[in-house]
Amino acid sequence: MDAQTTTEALAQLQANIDIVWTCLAAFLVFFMQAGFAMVESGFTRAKNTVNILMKNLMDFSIGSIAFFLVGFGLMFGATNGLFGTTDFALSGVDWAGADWDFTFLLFQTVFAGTAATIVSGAMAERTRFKSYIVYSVFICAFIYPVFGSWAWGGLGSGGGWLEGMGFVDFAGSTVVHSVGGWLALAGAIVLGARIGKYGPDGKARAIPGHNMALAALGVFILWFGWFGFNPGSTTIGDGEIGRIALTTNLAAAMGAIAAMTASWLISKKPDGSMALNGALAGLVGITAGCYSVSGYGAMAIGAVAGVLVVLSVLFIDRVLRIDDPVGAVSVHGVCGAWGTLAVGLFAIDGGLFYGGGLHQLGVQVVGVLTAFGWAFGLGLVMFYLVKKTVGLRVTRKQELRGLDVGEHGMEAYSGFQIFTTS
Amino acid sequence: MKLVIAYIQPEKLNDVKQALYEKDIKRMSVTNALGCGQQMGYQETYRGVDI
Repeated sequence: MDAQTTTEALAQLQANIDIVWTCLAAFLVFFMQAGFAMVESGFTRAKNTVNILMKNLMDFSIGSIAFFLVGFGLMFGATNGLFGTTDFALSGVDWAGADWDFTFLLFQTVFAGTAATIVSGAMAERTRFKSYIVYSVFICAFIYPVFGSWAWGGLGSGGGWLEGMGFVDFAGSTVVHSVGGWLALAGAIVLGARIGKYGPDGKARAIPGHNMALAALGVFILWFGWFGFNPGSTTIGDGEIGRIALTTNLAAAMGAIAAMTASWLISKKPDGSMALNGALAGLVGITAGCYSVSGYGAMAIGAVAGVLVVLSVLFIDRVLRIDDPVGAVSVHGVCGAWGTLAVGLFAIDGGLFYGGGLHQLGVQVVGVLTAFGWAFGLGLVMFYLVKKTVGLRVTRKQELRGLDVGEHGMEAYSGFQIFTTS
Repeated sequence: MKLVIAYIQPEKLNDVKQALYEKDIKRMSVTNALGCGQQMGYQETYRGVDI
């Protein structure tokens, strides 16, 4: 072979490795849906299990269709300055071919699905199923893709103003997790607390989840899936995969350790549910900076996220009195914002602690605030409109008996004796 | 035949069965009950909140 043929063959091989790796990563991120389903089932009561599983199944299924038809074009099509206007449903692509866009769309679909599914946990045990379906369409067809186009549009045929400023959110601490987390916050506020969550004196009561084994399985599945979420976001099959997987793992581990320690110090016992949330907090935190920080930076980001998630859960529960059964707002909203800001501190190239000054941090702040304004603001409007039209909440009777019987006419543990006093 | 009704801690069930078996007493019904006695229950917490 002459040199030119060799070069072409190598390029072809690398392109195929990129496709194989990106598809594999997409499959791992898809599996995170199972993780979310298990975490949310485990952290809520047995009488609402079918409902939360159905929400997880439907937000991904409906989200996949909505993102294919509408969302992808808004996010990655040629932009008009605010959102993309081409590439809807991959228009113009050769359906008999092997275009990169097939792989790219699948990879982006599972990310949109992740943002969508974050909300179901915060709105668990009291939301009308029909209303949740309406929300699923809106997030994947509009809210997520438009913000995504500002930060990530350049990965496709677009290009957004945030990425133009130099905003760094490698795998989506803000684009995916904070957007999902702030929507979850809006949903939980408009919806109100579960019956019995707050006493007549306004004091928060515990409503224990029904299965810590499922919750732990879910967290391990999410941790596993994150090895696709972060390292896959290079969409290139080379040695950087290993580096990103390592920073991801270090942050997750420190998140779990720090959250356990914080809960041990604050409430005298190492709380299992908080430690599990801590691992997720570390993972969400490192998602923005996984490409640009060192191992020490990753551990610091994870440790802060672990402490932050415990404080945030207690603050939202006791001070703000917003009922978030699984801690979705704290894990995804708060730690997503922290992780995005942390890029401005810990990035080896441009971070404040590495002599890069305040510029990157300032840009990160703009991105974090924009995400909050967009997702929380639109979330409030959307959930308020749903409340006034379809109705957001089940009846008191349905809530007390459980959404499984009221909304789906079936029980998750039929034939098992479940004793409940709440 | 005598009928004995006894409330015991769940973890003592096997000991009680063994002791009765040694005395050649082999018929019993067991059922679960919730409540508290002299130990006044025990304290559980969930996500930093007392139950």
